[in-house]
Amino acid sequence: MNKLRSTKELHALRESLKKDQKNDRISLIVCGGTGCETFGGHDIYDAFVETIKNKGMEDAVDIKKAGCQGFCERGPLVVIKPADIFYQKVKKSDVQKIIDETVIKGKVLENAIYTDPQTRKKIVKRTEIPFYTKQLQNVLRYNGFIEPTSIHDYITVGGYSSLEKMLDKMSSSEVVEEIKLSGLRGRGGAGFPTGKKWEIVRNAPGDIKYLICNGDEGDPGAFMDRAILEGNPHQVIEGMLIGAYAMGCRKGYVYIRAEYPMAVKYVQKAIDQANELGILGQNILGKDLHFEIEIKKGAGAFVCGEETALIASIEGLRGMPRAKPPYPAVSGLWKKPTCINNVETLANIPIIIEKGASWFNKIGTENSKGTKVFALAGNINNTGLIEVPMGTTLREIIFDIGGGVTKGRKFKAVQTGGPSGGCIPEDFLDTPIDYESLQKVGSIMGSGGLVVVDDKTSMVEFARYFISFSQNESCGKCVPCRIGTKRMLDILDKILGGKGTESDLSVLWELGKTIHETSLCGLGQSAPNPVLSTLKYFRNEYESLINKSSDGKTPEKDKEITPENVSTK
Amino acid sequence: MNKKMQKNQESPDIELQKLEDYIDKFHTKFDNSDIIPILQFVQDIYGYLPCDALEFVSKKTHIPLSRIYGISTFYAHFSFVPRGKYTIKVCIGTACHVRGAEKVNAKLEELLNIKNGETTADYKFTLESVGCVGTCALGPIVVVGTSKKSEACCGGPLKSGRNVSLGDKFHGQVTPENIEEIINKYQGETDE
Repeated sequence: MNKLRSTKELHALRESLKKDQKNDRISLIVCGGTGCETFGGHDIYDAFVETIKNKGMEDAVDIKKAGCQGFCERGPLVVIKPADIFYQKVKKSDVQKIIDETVIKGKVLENAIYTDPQTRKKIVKRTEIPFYTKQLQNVLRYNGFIEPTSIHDYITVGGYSSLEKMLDKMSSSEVVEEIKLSGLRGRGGAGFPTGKKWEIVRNAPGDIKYLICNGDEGDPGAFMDRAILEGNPHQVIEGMLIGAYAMGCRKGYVYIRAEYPMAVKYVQKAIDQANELGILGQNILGKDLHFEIEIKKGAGAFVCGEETALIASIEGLRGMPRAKPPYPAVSGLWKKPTCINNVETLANIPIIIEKGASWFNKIGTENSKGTKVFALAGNINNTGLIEVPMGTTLREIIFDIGGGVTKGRKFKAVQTGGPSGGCIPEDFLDTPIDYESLQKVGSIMGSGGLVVVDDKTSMVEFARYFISFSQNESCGKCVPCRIGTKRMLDILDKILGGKGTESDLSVLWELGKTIHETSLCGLGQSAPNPVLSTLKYFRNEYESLINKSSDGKTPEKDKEITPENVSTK
Repeated sequence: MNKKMQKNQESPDIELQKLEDYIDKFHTKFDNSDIIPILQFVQDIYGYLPCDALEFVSKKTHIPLSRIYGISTFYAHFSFVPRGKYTIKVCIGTACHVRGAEKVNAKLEELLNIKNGETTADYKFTLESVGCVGTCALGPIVVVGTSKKSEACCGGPLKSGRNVSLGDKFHGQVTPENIEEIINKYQGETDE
């Protein structure tokens, strides 16, 4: 690849790539997301390559392995373009048939197409499947269609055109203004206005500033960032470049969990390609823009998703958070102004620059603009990855897109926001999703994991699960989190063990509130949420466990808390 | 977290050459931020953090051993004891949890006759749990990886011209019933 020396050259490259693209050719897109890989997607891909080679059809058919298509439950997925035929649960034995029947004769293979479980209707086209029709894909628009390992694929569909537009037409302050106007808020969970953060970093004194992409997606039940990094890494890099230009950062880091080996590989490959093409490095596209990106791999600590802990981890320290202020935007990595943005936030940036803030802020609710990617998991029929406008209700997501609860069981609760979020009962399913409304019902937006549980699940046990997770991942720096979560866990164990008393519930409540108010970082502050929300909405389950324990015998008298009967870890 | 750094009598003398080559690649003056990547490399090539290797790293980089110890104990990925050829990671993330990951873990403990966190006597398997591997849609998930050169377990070394392969092998929708079959497959594999 030759280095591009100007935006014109990038434009010319895109045009020539577009011209080379043969639109009349049939292309087979095999989903290469981790979900489909787990079902043997890679073997399917290999089988297609081999079959096409054996038949000497290399010139007639394109075969691609793209990122996650979202409908993981139905994997391995194969989409055939331009007819848009959607094959699901593809088996190795189907490969030959797909080539013979569909590719050569244009016939649809009945046994591999999707059947709507509710209407029993067979649906051939991807765009007509309810799982997809109810979505609005902005961030994920190219996910599943372009090859994540090919920068040319990304450029062909219009990638890096926002970078081009920005370098040609916008000043750095105009970029910040545009992002502010768009109303984009941090997709990592806290929802801080991105434009405002950028402005603070931009205005911070000093020449050295850093931009960090937070891909330490530790929330169990969340896999949005993983799918974006694995499916379209260049979009995140473009977002980072725009940020670097706006804020004057010369160095960026992508912090990725070590549990995501494929994401690490793909992002590294994307960085290498961008360097080679002159899209990263010194004098990018001949302009006065210098930016390099390095990957930092996590080492298995949930708390490192917290920004100050993440900074400590990059600095090579134990990943422990520190008190804020000063905020990283003022004093972050090596005490320099540092902007930390979530993967999905950065993936939104090129779209805003491309289509304009006024286009973006028409989507969503008054205070939460744009779309949000959610990961559907748990006892739900259509597990996978979806993207909907802010303001969509939980009911629409769970029942219309998600296809309802598995095995025809009854819905009990949906847990949003991972261990930091809460459990939302059926009464609130019509809540339109945005940052504020979820907080109002005792949960949080979080990074976007939605775990549905059915009526078989014990909510007390479920709450215990989260507390034990947070307890395990507590870094130990501050007392409320380290000891408080341990005490909450002890009490929950006591209740589950049939020895709970009425007063345990009030202690749990009070303890939860105290931990929330006094912990140092977000992990501690939000750790009690699963317990507090279940206490609020499913108190009867706690009570029935307590009453059950008193059956036949008198309930154990409440022990006074003394140093002797308080166990230490 | 109960981690202790100890000289392991059973472990053979370790080969330090590879490590030296890797560290020499840094050339520049070391700063603290290099230590985690170096430790990750140590864990990659030996499968754990041997005491000798850590002492060597400390001497080479002038980063105190106490600091290295502090970091090694903080992050869950680092281990001070040798691990089995295959690391079986049971995902206990929320989605896998509600779909019965605990039962899978119990079955694995029974099959391998070890507790979660332990290694079998023949150093073939290490069983551990992992927070979430982000493949929630297909829970419960069990990930099997080799402690050294994790790519090799996924159908041999990378073929040229092929897409990057996924290092560890993911098994989705695992049940106590089908986990036995999966383990047997690895049991049967002979050392290359």
